[in-house]
Amino acid sequence: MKWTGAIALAASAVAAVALAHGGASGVVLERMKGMAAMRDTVAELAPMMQGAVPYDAFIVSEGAAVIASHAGNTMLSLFPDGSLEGVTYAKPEIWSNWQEFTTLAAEMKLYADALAEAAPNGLEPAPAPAAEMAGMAMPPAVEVARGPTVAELMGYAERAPDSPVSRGQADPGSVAPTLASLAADDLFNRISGTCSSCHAQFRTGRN
Amino acid sequence: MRGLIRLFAVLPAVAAGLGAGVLAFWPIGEAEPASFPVGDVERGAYLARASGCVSCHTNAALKGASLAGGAPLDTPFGTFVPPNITPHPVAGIGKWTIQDFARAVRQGISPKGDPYYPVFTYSFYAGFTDQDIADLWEAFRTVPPVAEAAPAHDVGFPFSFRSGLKLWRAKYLSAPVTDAYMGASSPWNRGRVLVEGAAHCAACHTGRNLLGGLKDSARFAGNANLPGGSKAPSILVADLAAAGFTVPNLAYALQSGLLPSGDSFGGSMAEVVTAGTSFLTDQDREAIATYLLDPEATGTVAAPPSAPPSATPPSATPPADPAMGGMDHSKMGMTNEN
Repeated sequence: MKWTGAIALAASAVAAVALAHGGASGVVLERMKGMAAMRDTVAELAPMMQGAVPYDAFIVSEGAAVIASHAGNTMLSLFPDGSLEGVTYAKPEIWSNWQEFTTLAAEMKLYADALAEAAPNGLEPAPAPAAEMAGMAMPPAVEVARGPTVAELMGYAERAPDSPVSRGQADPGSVAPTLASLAADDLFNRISGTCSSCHAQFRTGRN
Repeated sequence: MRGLIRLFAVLPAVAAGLGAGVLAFWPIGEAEPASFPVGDVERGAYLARASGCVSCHTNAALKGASLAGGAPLDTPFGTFVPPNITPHPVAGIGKWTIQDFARAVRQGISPKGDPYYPVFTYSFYAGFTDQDIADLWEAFRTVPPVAEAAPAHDVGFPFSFRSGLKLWRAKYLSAPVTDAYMGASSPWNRGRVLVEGAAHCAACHTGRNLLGGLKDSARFAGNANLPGGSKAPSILVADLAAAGFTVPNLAYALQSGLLPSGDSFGGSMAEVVTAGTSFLTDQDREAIATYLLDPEATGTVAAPPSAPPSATPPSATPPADPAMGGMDHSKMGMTNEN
């Protein structure tokens, strides 16, 4: 009986893998594996960023390095023009809006590299000057409050940069020197915001 | 013979014409109060954000001005364009009274007395109080007016016949149940108000019938036919639990867009998080999660499959949650890519 269970479990695990990557091959399979590696790393780090499990700077740094290794040019190289053959979740908009895709891939690398370096900073909020130097200007005449302002809520002012899902609006290159001074959870939030932003634009639904 | 054909052709037309006439004069809606309380602009802005006013009526993809008209929604009934609701007197709602506004928001009726299409989720706002309306009104009046009207809806006959919506209203329109539930925690009750009302989760996560009415029998069971071909997964408690959701990590997902699997929301839900739930307070996100994961108000939340047997809510120093430890829940398809 136990054996039957084990075999069934193994079979379902194989089936799950087959489903996840079903029919994919070549460069499509390669990038799926890369995405899965990033997903698993994010799943491992997210509880630490929420304070649900003890923070471990070494794991965070290693994880960030894994994410960085799949981002940037590595990611771009796995999306050759029009590579939509077989089973893929990629949308053709990737190539019609390649500049945006490139920017997101670069942001991912930038934030992940920074997190690898900033992991020892832990979850404490970054010092205020560092946050200000991050290159994202506050809208003028808007009071800096803990919660979003009326203008931000109603959408006629850009959201303050510390929001978890607003990815870097400024030129990424100009903020690089100060990113590593940010708190780990801030950088992690930027990474997840980049994931979301990219998936929202460039990933299709699954059937 | 020719007369007979004419009769067959004309009679239904006359009957339809009479029916249409009756529908056109069928009065709908109730009078709004002559006066409203003083509005709180901050509370109103928060409610506008939580209710999706800003995300739906702003075309973020084209970097459109706030509330000046949203991205078109392709539906089986036609293409709907969320209108300009900035305070511009011609292109927006600048000439409206607060009574007009109240009638539009919580009754779904235009100042001229026409019913709005239910693509505008006013049925979820039916429970808004006079104070809620006054707060929203104050917040809307702060928005910079935009002089350009949004394009008209592109809806074919018979759906273009607005008075026909009165039949739809009679059959499907009902106010959400958001009353406080005795014995439930205050986060649960707050969650109920948000989930069933302002945040209108069911608008996407509950399936619709051929006439666009919500299927009460399939509440929160998901909808594979959202505008634009998107789909929303089930958010029934069993499916949420199977996907590894707990109150803390569901609240976190609504803030960060990250799922317990490490995947991130895509498509519509990514927008909901970016332009909606990420603006909410931590308490409100936890309230939403509490309500969704304990719809019967039992006071306990079912643990995800791989979690330890203890299903008690997390204490001040929560123990490690194995469900969040990098396990792959992605096969549950809780990604909501579109």
